[in-house]
Amino acid sequence: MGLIGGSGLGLPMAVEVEIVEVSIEVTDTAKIAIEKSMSEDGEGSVLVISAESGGCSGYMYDMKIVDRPNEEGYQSISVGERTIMIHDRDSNLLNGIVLDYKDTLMGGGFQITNPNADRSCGCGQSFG
Amino acid sequence: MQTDLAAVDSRLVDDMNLEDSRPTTLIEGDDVEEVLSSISTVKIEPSYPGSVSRAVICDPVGRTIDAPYVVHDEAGLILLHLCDGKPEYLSSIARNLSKKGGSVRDASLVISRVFQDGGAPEQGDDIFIHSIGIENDFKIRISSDDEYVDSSSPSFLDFALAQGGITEYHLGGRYLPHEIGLSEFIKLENGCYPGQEIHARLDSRNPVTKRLVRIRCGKNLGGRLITEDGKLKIFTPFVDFFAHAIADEGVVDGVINHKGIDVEISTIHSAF
Repeated sequence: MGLIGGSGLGLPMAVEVEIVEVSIEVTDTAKIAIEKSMSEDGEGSVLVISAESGGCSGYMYDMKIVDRPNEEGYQSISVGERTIMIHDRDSNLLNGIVLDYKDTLMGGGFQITNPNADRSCGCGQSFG
Repeated sequence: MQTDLAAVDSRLVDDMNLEDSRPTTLIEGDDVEEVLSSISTVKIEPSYPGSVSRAVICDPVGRTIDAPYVVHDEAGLILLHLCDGKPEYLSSIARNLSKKGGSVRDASLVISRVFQDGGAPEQGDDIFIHSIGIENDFKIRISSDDEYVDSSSPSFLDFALAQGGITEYHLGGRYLPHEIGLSEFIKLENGCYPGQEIHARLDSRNPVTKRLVRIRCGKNLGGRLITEDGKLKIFTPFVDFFAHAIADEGVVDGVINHKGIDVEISTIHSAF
């Protein structure tokens, strides 16, 4: 049975995650890069941006091109012909981000500037 | 004045049932070990219910925030926090788990933890963490009832300072895990975690040689203690003759005489 008796769902929540309506800015270069990256993907594909725990500053950005998630809990942002989706649980961390793309040999690729981050890692993939 | 350390009371702990009232949390959902490992200095592997692991959580500059015991349970992972309040990093865990239907729940009211003498009888389904304390004479009893609790004496701070326990004085981002008796839980192969860059740089360029020691003496010393072999920074109050300090590498265990007062120094190898 274990100490908690098989299910802890009767216990009070210790932490509630705040959900906000997400607004993000995508630069022109990022829009072109998104279109290019998704050019071979069908209309049902979307770009999911998320914040996972970990990295050297506490959270790590993740970007994935996936089939549009069926489950509820995602917010959609249209970028030209494409759609960016952000999970409700990441909404207060990712609200207000600026998604840019830098075409440089070193440190290039998608870049995220996040007004909610107190600190970020040199590699640009982790923030806290 | 010469102080006879033998006469210093190392407290009576026979039949001790000392309650540890710090917060307890249940984290439940898919990949719960992976989520906790992503912010811990050591990887938490899936294990059978009733087994106990240890996580150490640091801030981005590698200083210790918490070092919870992790009890593997059928319901998820039970974190026995060492910090006094609910730690902020639970928000990060909650965010990840809740995307897959998991959650972070307050288990403080259903789980009790009690420090006991090592020889106290064991029965039932309770979980025990054995061999804690400077002389490995104590254990932690984790149970889902509170029939064993007697929080009257000694106080938790008394006990922790006398036996090498971690208190709020050790946490809060003040010290590296290496400096407070948690070196064995720094595993750089766990990959990226908050503080990992600092720990990796220390490991390769400037290994931490300072260590946590217990000081016992008959007088309340404060601040910095300078010996022939190096310095000791006393960072806790003295409670009933005991305090904790961070010692330079050269400081050796044993009794030294400091301005006429005998001071006993004992390394805390694995803080609980």
